[in-house]
Amino acid sequence: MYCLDDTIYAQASPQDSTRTIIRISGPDAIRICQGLVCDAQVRPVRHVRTAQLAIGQDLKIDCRVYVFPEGQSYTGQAQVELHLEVGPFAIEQVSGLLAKAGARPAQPGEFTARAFLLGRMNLAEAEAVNQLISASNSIQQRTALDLIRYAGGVRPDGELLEILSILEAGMDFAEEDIGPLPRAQLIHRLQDLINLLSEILRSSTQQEGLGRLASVGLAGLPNAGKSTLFNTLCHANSMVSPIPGTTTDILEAILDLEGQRCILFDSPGLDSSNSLIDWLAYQAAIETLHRADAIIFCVDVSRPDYQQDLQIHSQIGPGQVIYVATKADLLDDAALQEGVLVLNRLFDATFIPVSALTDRNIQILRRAIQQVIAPIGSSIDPSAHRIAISERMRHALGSAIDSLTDAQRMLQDGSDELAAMCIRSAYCALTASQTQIDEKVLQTIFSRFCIGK
Amino acid sequence: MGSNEYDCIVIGAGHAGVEAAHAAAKMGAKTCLITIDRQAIARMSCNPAVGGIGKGQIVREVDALGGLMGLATDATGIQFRMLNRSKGPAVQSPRAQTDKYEYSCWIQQALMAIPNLTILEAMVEQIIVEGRRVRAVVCQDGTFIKASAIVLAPGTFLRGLIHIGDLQYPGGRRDEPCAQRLSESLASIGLQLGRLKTGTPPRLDASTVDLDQLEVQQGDPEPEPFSFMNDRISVLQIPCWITWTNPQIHQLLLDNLNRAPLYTGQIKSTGPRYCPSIETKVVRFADKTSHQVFLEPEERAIKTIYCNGISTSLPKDVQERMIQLLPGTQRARIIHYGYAIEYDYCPPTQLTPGLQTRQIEGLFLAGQINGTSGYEEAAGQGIIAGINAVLWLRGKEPLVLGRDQAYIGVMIDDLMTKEITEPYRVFTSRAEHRLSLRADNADRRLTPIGREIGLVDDQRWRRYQQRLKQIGRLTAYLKATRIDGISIWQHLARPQSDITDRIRNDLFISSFPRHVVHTVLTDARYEGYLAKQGRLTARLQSLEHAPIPADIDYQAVPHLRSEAREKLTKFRPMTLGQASRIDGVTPADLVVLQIYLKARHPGQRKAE
Repeated sequence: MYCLDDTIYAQASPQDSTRTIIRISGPDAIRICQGLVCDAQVRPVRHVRTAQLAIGQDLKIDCRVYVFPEGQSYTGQAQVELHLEVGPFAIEQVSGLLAKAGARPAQPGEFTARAFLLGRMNLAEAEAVNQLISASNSIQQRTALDLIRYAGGVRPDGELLEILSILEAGMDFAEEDIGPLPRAQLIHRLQDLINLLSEILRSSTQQEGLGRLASVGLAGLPNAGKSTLFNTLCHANSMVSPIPGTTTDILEAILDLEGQRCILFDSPGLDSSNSLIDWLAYQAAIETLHRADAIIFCVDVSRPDYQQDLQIHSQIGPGQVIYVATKADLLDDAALQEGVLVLNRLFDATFIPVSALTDRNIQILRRAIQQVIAPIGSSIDPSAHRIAISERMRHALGSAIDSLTDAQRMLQDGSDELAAMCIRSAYCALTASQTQIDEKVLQTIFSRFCIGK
Repeated sequence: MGSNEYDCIVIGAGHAGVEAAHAAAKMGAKTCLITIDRQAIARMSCNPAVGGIGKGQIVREVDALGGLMGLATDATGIQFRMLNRSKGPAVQSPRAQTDKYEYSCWIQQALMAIPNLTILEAMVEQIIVEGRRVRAVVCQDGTFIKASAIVLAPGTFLRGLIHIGDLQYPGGRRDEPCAQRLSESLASIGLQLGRLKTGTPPRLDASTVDLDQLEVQQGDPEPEPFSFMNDRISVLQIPCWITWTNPQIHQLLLDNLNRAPLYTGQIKSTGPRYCPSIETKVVRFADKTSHQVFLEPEERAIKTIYCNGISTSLPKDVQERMIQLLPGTQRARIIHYGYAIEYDYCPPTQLTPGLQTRQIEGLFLAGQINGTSGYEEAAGQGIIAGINAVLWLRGKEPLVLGRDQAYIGVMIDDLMTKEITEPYRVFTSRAEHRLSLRADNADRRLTPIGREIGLVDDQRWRRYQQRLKQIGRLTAYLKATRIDGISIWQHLARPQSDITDRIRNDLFISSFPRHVVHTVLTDARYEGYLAKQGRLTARLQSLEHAPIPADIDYQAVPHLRSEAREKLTKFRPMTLGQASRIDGVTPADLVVLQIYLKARHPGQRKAE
């Protein structure tokens, strides 16, 4: 849900274009930016100026600052755009400073939602906005927890829930025969979690290395099986949904092909037939695909015809293409053979029939990718395990670590009620929700302790 | 107005009913409290105790609003303890054992002293509704009483069914008839009913229990009163005793599970997880070789003993054998057997946050009928229902306490937004504003509200003003007085500070009453953390004031996921805040809803 009183920020430009735009919107936007700019006044009137941002002790970067006062911006709120021509490290620093000053990373569609809620868009456009947000539902649910799973770690939500339950039982059921609070043990368990989260944050923030890897994008119609294939190739377990349009963010991971590494990214389904908003997402996806070194073009072989696939095929750009017929498990052998023949003829290409479900031909596909990226090469240390991390997730991890560190201190101090508050805060950050966990906590307490007189 | 005509009728004189009747009458409404048995007013049907963690806070809240429960407990308590004393002030709660007979008498007398309150002995069988509005009640003997508003607080009496082993018979409580016909009347006026279960342990003849063999639990050396009207408790305190079950008892229970109504299928409804029967404990926690049992006297004269911890519906012979095997009670005589009871309740999705039914105007529900358990929870709803019945009669907005204002607010909001799968009780872990909802500051939170609605009398108001003044003076002193360069107030805000020891002998501080010092020191301690709590909850706060129109058709909201659509249709939240707390409604669903509402009512709200 969107609260309009927060000040939010997000990158508004493709990540590796030479220029990066960071857009900040909300009641505190101008005040926050004034705090970042070290040599100029940012006044609440519409203007542009060149300024320097202090991002480290002796580190300043040049920047153009566009100020849109309340009532004169896209969202209707005070808004500032920082236009920067710097690398990812500096961008990360600027984001960190914004978060420190009280802004938070925007949710998908949040700028547009604000524009509507503040009367900057008309009624017809509202429909389109809601469609976008509806589609991003599963993206919102893709949280720092999923990231941790990608990194091969355990999911810390269960552990947090258990620690919290033990703590709460000690307070809400002090009269019961539940034994003393294992304080030292809880502090230790919190430390393990802090270590895990810090390690993920540390290894995932080295984003600059990613630029030197070859990039391979998955393209195809919505629901062509791209996300499933993405997960299978990365041995990851990202959320895959049968609703078209599940992937509306670009999701990246490092694919390791026997020492050869590349970035594999999953793009939103290419479907220009819907709303204005979808069209924008479509354009963004096309742009990203054009920058890829290679494309895995996915066609659902079980579809009755391939006309739409043909239409979008012309858009996917100049890079090398690997053709894949997905969902091979849905057809019997004869029908599959027939389907692949039709595809080969239509696209004048050779399709690899694959099934993410049965792993059919996945090894062949991996070798095909390996061949394509071999000339591009990469000299990255194969032992490094990295994942591209979004600003939202970085923010979540950082705030969870801070809260857990506070919780440890409170526990040492005997302030259990304050420790519980900090653990809740960490839980909310990691699960990206404000959902109350009390019922889960009580459930855990009742199954763990014999409560009741 | 005729003699058989009232502004407000309250049905049921348990802990919900008495607070409702008291509040309505004190606010000036001509009120009639109808009970089956005058002697049973404010009867403690289960545990002879008031308060506990979370519950103690509710008693303080009822007291701060001008209710009875705190005063009655102070007047009739026989043992007082502050729970969680070693933990943070937010989770400290008062609890007291009471003389249950004196408690009931005290409340009866308090009610009889109110001139515009009539107490009537009768059993209500029917509620008369005219054009979706309450008009009257009809009693078993045919008496017809007109009322403009009705508060219904029947406890476990609605089609109550008592179980002891394979014996089952209708009853509202032990040896009391149940209300068979009233349920039918409620169903006929359109209320949906469900079924819940609760239970109670056996009571023993105290003269046959060998108390001197047992571990003793004493009250606090300096007992703290429940009511803000009392400075101290100066009665002689009575101890409780502790004993433990053993493997022999556990084996006995396991051997007789085939005669336990909970396991034979005789009892079909769900009971509370936090209050399991002893047979359930033995089955679910098979590795525990012993369970604690508190032996609690039910009156100052220690005639009967309540066995806290062995609630059961096993047959009488098994209960007898269990008592024979329990250390200290080997030769004890059971005066009343434990039993389980199933009863009707109205799923609270049918209520507005003012506790009025959505279907019938002027009908308010309070206590166990709303799916809750506990005297304190009942009292908290009772006082709100009584207040709102009168406010409604006067055409005023209902009193709805926020989750940040009171545990009563948390409870009622939970009832609006949570699935009832067991009788509901408060836990401090359910309150996201736990640091603000302290037992010691309930007066600051609620007494001004009680005053405004006319429930807080001059005496309470003067006392409150005086306490507020003292709090202000002490706060100013702590902020102005420096030790080691910073104020005492700043010292107090620091973790692991030894300042409380260093100011122990400060003469100015010790000149204030203990409760004032406690409140001010806690204010200082929590000040910084309240800001953090505020940040955690702020994003949701703005949604609390974003209303959802009552006539919204969720089927017509495009892009809502079907699960969200189903849940929202079921709970019909009054605000986006409530909607956000419904399990199965995601943040994205809320945005979709928020945008839909905005599109439907453009310009109605400037900023949400």
